[in-house]
Amino acid sequence: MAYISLRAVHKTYPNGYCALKNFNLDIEAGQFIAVLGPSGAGKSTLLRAMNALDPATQGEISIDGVALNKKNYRKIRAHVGMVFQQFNLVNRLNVMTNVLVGRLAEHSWLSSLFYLFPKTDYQIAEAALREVDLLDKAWSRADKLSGGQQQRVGIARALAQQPKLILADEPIASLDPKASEEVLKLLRKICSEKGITVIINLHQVEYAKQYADRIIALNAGTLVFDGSPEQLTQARQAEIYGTVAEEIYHEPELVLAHA
Amino acid sequence: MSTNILPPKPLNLFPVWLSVALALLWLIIWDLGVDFKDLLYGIEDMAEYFSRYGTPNFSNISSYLYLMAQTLVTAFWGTTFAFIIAAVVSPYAARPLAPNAFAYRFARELLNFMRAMPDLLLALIFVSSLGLGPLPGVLALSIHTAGFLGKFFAENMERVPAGKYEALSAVGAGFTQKIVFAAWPSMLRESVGNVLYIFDRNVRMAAVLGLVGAGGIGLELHDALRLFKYNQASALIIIILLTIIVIDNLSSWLRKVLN
Repeated sequence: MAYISLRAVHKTYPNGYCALKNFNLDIEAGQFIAVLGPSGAGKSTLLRAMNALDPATQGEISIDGVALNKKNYRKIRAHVGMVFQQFNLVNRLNVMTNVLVGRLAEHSWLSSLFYLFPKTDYQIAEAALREVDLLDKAWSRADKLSGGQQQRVGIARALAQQPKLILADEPIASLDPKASEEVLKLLRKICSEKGITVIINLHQVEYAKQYADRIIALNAGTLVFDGSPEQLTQARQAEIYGTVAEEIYHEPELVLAHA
Repeated sequence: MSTNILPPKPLNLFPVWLSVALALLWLIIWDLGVDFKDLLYGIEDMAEYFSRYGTPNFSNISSYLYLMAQTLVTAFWGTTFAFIIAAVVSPYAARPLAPNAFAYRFARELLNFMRAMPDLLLALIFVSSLGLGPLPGVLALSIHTAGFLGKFFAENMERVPAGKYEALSAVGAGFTQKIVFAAWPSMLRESVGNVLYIFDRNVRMAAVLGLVGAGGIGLELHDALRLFKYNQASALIIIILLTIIVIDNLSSWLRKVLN
C-alpha cells in the first residue's frame, strides 16, 4: 500500500465552493512531489486535507496505513510537518522557541503553560537548526530575520516534529529568487538525505521540473497531470494552465497577482 | 475603459449634512429652553462655590494617605482578579480558539453580563452581603472589569493572523498550547495597554466606590462634603488628583518601555 493514499476525496467549503472533486492519489514514501496548477485549482486544499487543517468532506485519506478521522488528527499531525507561505512564526518569540513548538504534541498542556521543554527537545531543536544552517540565530527574535531565514526556521520547526512527511504550501511564494532557491535546495536535501516525503505546492513550473521526482497538476479540483518531470512538456503545461498560461507567466505583474 | 473626457465631479453633500445637523442642534436648544443668559449668571455662582475650596486643610494628611493607599490596593486587587478571570475566559470567547460554538456563545454572554453589571451596583450588593470595607470593592471591580478585559483579550486574540494558530494546529498542539504559544506572545503589547487602562480606571472608580461603603478615600470625601468641610474635601480631591496623574504617567511610561 502506498504511503499516502487518497480515495474519492471531495472537499466542499461551507460557502458551497467545491475545491476537490472525486480525487484519487497514491504517493510513495521518500519522494519529492511538486503540485502545480493555477490559483484556485485546489492545491492548498489538497495539502490541507492531508493534515486535516481543512478536513475532506467525503472520501478517505490515509497516511502510513492510518486513515484520518476526527479522533486521530492531533496524533497524525504530530509527525506531519507543514511549511507555510507566510512562515507563520510567532514573531515575538525567539527562533529556538519557534522551533521547539514542533515538539509540543509530545507534551501536556501543563508543562506548556510555563514554556518548559525537556533537554532532549532542545537537542532536537538544535539539530534542526543546524540542518537549516541557522544555529547562530537561535536566540534572535523571529521577526528580526529575513524572509528566507524565517522560512528556514519554519522548516526547522517542521524538522523538530521528526516528521515522515512535510507539506509545503507555496513555501517560496513570498521569497525573492535567491532565497527561493535556498529553500527548495534545503527541502530537496531533507528529502534525499533523510528520506522524508515532501509535497510542495509551486507556481513555478521550472522549479518543479528541476527539483521534483514526480509532478502532479490540478485544475478545478481534479487531477490533470501525473508524471515525471520529463513528461511535463510545453504542450502539457498549456493544458494544465489553460490557454492563458503563456500570458500569465510572461507578465510579471500577473504572476505577482497570482502569488 | 479609459476616455479622454474628465467625468463630472462627484457631488459633495457635506455642506448639506452640516446645515441639517446645525438646524437640528438649534431646534433641540430651542425646544429645551436653554437660556445662555442664565448660564452666564450661573458662572458667577459657580465661581463663588468653588472659592470655598480655596484653602485645603491637610491636617489629617496621614489618615488621608492611608485611605488613598487602601483605595489603590482595592484597585490593584480588583484589576488582578479581573485579569485572572479574563485570561481564563477570553480564549473561549475568541473565534479562532473557541473549542465549539456553545463555549463561544457562553463565554461571550458571560463577559457581556459582567460588563453590563455596573460596579457601583455590585459594590452595593457586596457591601450588603459582606459588610463594609475594601473587600466588596475588590469583588465589584473584579467582576465588572473582568467583562471588559475579557472582551479586549478576546478581540486581541481574534486580531492575531489566523496562520499563527494554523501553524500550531499543524504540529498537533492542543487548546492551551495554542493560547500559550500563538495567542499570548502575539497579543502581549495590546494586552499590557488594556490592563494598564483598566487599572487606571479602577483607581478612579475605587475612589468613588467608597461612597457606598466599599472602603477607601471615597467615604471620607463623601463625609467631608456632607458636613460642608470644604477645606478637607479640597485636600482629599487634591490627593486623589495627584495620585491619578502619577498613575497615568507611570502607565504611559510603562507602556513605552514595554514596546
